[in-house]
Amino acid sequence: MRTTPRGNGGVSPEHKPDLPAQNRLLAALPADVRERLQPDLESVPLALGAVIYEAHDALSYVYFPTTAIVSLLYTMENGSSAEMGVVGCDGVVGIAVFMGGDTTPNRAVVQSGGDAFRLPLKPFREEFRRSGELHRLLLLYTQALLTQMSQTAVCNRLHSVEQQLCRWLLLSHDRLQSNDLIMTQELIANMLGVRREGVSVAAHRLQQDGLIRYRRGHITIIDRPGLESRVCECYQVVKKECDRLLARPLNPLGPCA
Amino acid sequence: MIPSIPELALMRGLRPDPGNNRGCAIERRGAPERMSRPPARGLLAPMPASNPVLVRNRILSTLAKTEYRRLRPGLEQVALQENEVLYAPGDVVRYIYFPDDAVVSLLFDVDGHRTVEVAMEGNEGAVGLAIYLAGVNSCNLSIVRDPGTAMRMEVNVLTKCANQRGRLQDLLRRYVHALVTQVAQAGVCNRFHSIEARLARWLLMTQDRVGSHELRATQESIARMLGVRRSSVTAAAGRFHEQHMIDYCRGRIEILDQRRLRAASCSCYGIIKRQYDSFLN
Repeated sequence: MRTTPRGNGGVSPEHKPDLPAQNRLLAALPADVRERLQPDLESVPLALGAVIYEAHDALSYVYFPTTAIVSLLYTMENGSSAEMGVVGCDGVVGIAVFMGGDTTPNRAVVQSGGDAFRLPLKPFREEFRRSGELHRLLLLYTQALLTQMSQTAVCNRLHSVEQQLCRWLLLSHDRLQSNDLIMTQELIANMLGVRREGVSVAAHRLQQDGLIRYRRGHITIIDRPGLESRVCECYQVVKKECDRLLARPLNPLGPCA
Repeated sequence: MIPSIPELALMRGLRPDPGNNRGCAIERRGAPERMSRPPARGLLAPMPASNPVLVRNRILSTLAKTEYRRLRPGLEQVALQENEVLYAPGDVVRYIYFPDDAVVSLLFDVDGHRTVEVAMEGNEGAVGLAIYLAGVNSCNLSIVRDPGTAMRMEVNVLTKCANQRGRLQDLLRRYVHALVTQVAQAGVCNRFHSIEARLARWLLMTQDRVGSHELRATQESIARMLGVRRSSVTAAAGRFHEQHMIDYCRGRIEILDQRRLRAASCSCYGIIKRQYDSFLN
């Protein structure tokens, strides 16, 4: 089934087969709901750079990432874009489907290759309409995403590139099961909506201080507490709100749980 | 550390409603009137259900007559004063506000000493709804930027109504999705676009919500909302003034030429507006 190359170090060598429980939302569902959804849940590989949906696309599936990380990018008319939200094993891609907005002006692009479970709209909507646990969890998740986007907006405007880079690395690390990110500085600059040189200077400083190591498209996080001491408050605000709302630690299977 | 709802209730001398497991309906001991900060100044007396009230809130006015009639006894018209805090961090949502012509700013606190507007909610909105979804407000400050009237409804009554047949639940969900879009789109806009384009967007968005060409805002307050220096706002507003697109004096801004202001704004205004228009259809 896995035809798309992973192209990603974000998976530990002792990679176990993906289970729906690796996604926090799916894991939090009661057994009866999960049993109802199970026959329609399909594990799919998401390759780095793959576009899950373009702005104003009608969606055919919702995606629950397990090891993949997906960026929600908002674009400008001149083509530049910035990441306003990041969805990994903590969330779901495609809130427009259940919030009823039909389409959305953002694009969803795989930022770190890995796996996800996807669910076709029909069984998903049927379960959502039962107004049970799935309904409740997804509304909570939407609120967590709203907090993440608000805080990202504020952070982008007011904090240094170094602080933003630390935030971005920590948010990604929380959603990965490894200390290795496959990511170029160019891509990070696009996500943060800043110039590449700004990211280079900040990454260089973090490397000099022994917090990360980078080489041609790989970033390794060496000193997580060090990054936490350099990041702005935005990281904690988002993480706390997400943890509080979903009441489970992020990355329960990962090394930094 | 975010206190749990019972802790929060204890801290404020409040009592969680045992019938509501999210603990969102909370009453003040002895004084059931209101839970957010300033005492309800200028509260209009609740109007009898038979008395027609001009409802300009777009969610309420989109509802079918029969559904609105079912809601009506639970709605109360209130006057929202300038700078009134509707929700502060730690508050539990008791009312959802449906503004007619009041505009509420959703502010985020940064570094503990300044706030930035991440969204505005007006006649298209249901203020407090997004916070209600989360159970308790942990991060944002909802403050009345433009005074005016709103209809408000207790959250537990609203929940009951939304669970009955009709469009309300769907509209409320769609509203939250439009709000998510606004926060994100305004976020990238503030990142990439010129102050002039952002100021134009902000003025147009405010005008849409106030429903008038005349806005109450000082350059100081706009600068705070946009998270820029006051002098930048002064320069941009000065250029709009020279081109007869706006006029301003002493805390008032009049929009003279909406069409050209729209041309001066970025595409973000249109993107956000379309999302809001489509959620009501």
